[in-house]
Amino acid sequence: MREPLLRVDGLVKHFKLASSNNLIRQKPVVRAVNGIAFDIAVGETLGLVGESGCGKSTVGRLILRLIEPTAGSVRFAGEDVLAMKPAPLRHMRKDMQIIFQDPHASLNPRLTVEEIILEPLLSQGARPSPELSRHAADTLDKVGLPARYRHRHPHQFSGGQRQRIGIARAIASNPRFVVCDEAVSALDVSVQAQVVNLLQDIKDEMGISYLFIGHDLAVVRHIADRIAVMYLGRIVEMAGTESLFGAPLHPYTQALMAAVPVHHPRLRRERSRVRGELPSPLRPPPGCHFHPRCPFAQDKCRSESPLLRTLAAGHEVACHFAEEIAAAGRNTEASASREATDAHH
Amino acid sequence: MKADAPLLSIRDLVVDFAPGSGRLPAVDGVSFDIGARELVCVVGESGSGKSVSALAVMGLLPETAAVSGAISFEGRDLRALTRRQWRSVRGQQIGMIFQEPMTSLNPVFPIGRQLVETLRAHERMSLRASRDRAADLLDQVGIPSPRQRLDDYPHQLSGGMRQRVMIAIALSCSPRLLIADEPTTALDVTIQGQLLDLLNDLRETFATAILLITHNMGVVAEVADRVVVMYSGRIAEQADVFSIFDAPRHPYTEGLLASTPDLFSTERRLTTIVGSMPNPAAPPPGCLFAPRCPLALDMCARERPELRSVVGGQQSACLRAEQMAMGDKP
Amino acid sequence: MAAPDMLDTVGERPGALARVRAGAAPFLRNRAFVTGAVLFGFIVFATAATPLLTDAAPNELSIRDRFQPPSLQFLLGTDNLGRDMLARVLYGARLSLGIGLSVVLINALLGVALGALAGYYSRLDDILMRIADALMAFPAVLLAIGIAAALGPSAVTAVVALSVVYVPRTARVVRSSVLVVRELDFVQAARAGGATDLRILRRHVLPNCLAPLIVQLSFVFAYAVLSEAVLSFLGLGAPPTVPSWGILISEGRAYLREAPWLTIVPGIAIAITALGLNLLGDGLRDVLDPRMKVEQG
Repeated sequence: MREPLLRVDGLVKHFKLASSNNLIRQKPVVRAVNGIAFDIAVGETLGLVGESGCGKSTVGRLILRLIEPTAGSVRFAGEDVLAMKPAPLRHMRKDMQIIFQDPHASLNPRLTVEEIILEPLLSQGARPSPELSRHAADTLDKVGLPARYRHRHPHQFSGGQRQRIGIARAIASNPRFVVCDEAVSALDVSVQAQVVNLLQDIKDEMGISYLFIGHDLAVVRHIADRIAVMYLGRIVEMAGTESLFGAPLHPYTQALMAAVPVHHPRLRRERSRVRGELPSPLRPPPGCHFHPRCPFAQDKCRSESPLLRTLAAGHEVACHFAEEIAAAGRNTEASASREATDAHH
Repeated sequence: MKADAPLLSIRDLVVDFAPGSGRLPAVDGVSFDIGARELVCVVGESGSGKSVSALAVMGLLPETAAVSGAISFEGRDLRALTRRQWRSVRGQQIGMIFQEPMTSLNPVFPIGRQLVETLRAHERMSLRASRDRAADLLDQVGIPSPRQRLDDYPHQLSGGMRQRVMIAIALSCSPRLLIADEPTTALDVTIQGQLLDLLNDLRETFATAILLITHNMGVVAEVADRVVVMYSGRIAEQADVFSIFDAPRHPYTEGLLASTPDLFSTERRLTTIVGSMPNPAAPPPGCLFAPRCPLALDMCARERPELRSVVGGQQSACLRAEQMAMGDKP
Repeated sequence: MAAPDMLDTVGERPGALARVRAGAAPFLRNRAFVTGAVLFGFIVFATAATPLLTDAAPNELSIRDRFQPPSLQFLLGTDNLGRDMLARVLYGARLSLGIGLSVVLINALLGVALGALAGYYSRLDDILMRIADALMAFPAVLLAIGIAAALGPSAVTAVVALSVVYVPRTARVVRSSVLVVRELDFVQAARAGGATDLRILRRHVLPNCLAPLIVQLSFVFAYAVLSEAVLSFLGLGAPPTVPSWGILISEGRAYLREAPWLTIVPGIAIAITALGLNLLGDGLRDVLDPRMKVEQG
């Protein structure tokens, strides 16, 4: 089998907090990412979803080595990213880019749009030249901004336009892989839809692979080929998009899907909301991290941490009772989904 | 439901932050009502004027803003209130919650104390009684072990819990109207669901009307009785929630609905509204939505249409509202 | 809803003059800035244009004209050796402002370099900032006096002593803004683009720390002029043949009763300079404050 473009294995990141109490020698440790593994193929989009604080953004930054992992391995195009020395790593960065959530904080206010877009190339040693300027104009064109805007500063643009500039910067160096870290979450609905489509167009045109990090399942569904659901630093379920939405196996995935607001008032119903909130990653619950909020939790869940296992082809889940829950939930989910489709047409 | 006069009535509200500049006012001729116990959603994107309208109702606009129009609450003209009178209206008769509860809670006091202070500011009661009442309120907004929580500081609570505290404070004086400005936007979807349920429940227990400001059509679908859709400071459409979702009579509403990602759709591409909000410094001459509108005709670029009744209680500010029915969509 | 998110139709690029005018407007509206600029501008102008303002040489003796009070012939009077005070104050300004400017330049170089290193590399932060803490634990003037006394009186000594005093303070200011800016997404983006640390600092971090730095440097200038006067007054600054303002005050002190203008005139010069620079700094802080900037954006 061909090696995937990106292979992440056993990725771990523990943040040590400064202890507020000096008498306790041991500093508290946040297990932000706790053993994550996945592959991304060439041209594939993997969606990474979860609530805020689940560690999904950290995963993106670990892969790009913007943060140094505590343990694990990241292989990109066959190369061990974590073992790379600074110089080759810098060189490789043109192949791996990132788009940020906040269009206001992600652009240097002192630079012009052209300087921002060309910065990754200039950082790699390119010299300013007319060709490079033309490349900036072409890239702007690709993201749907008029090239005549290239001498402006970021503050002259709207949020949606800034996000397009951020995308232009990410694709200017012809990367093969881009992390979209909540790239459309801060945008207005109508702009968000435009940017999601733009990201798809760019992917189709340039053959880029995305790690699309988001909290809105509905948005992720539209762009991802496969989806990984994270909870407290671990992946609890990973499957092809249709498979995941067709038959979510993990109770947490089901809860996330149930929490998404309905898209028509006729679909309002008394729904079983997931109880409680995300526990602190400083003191994760023993056993399955989700058990305090899980309606199906049993004794085993409180003591034994479930491993990610393959249930159907390409469908992995980390739940002791996934089979039973799937069988029980099949009827209700299917009817809800049918009801939804009916109301839509 | 609305036997007599509405609880809140807004007529021809105009809010201009730069009068005389030729810029489009932030709010331009907005009129709508809220009946007792009704939940009205004002929906729109940033720059639509939805939050400014809410601030106007609460009397919280900066003094430099030029405001005209009428706002009456239980028959009382809110715009004629003195500062002193405002204090008895805000908090007591109109409660408020905002998007970011951390900035609305005082970080140096425990939440119990903040609740107790609000209670005692509006009503004579002993410290002990007010603490009991505070714990009750926290319990009612779904905060577990409320007694212990009274002594927590805001930073010790999660975003969702803080928002619940804000709701408790807002409801502490049993207001007739609760104004909630994007209360769930900063929260995770699971917590958002919990809070929407809570708001709906509280509407029953406290018999309060709710004015909910949101940009999220999903939130509207979940809780609204009636919907006011705003675009560039003006009302594009208003109707009961079913009419809005079943048969929108304004292309902007339709576009907003279509561009909202749908969890059950297998489409890869999202439907979009082309272009973006008009620049308030150089608005288009006719209908403000015309440059983005798939249905626009020549006349749309010349005339700025007023809000008018189309069918039943449904009002639209589109010249082609009548032609917009489910059947003849492209 | 103050979000400026609606300005999607961006107008064409304005002309250079219009841009300068638009950029200058907030400064010209700030009363502290304008007052400070006028006061400090007056001092700088007088210093630069000294030969045009007076023919007299600062060290020219004239025993006949000793202790002349201000008059038309001697606008600011004369001292105990008949030297023209106007000339002495104006030439003294060169030394006072020169020392102040040197301290500012050293602060701009060393303070920025150390602050940037400390803010950017957390490993260096502990060491550098503990050294800074140690230096800052001494009262500023006392430390300057100590160093100057150890090195022996000279203009260079004054510069060194005042730099040792103020560089840690400037480094602190730079460090704290670097700490904030380095966490911003655009810095992460630069790293993700393969920029070296030097490039990230130079192009992305430091330009966005400029505002507090400029403010800090204007205060350092003011304090340096004041402190230099203190050192000179105590005999630890420039040697007495060169008239710096502090030396003028020190010399005039003996004749405070008979010829008060000998101390008052350089005192006013120092006061105008320090006041001007402080107002300038306050004004700059108000205008350049990043929080206000975000709202304009």
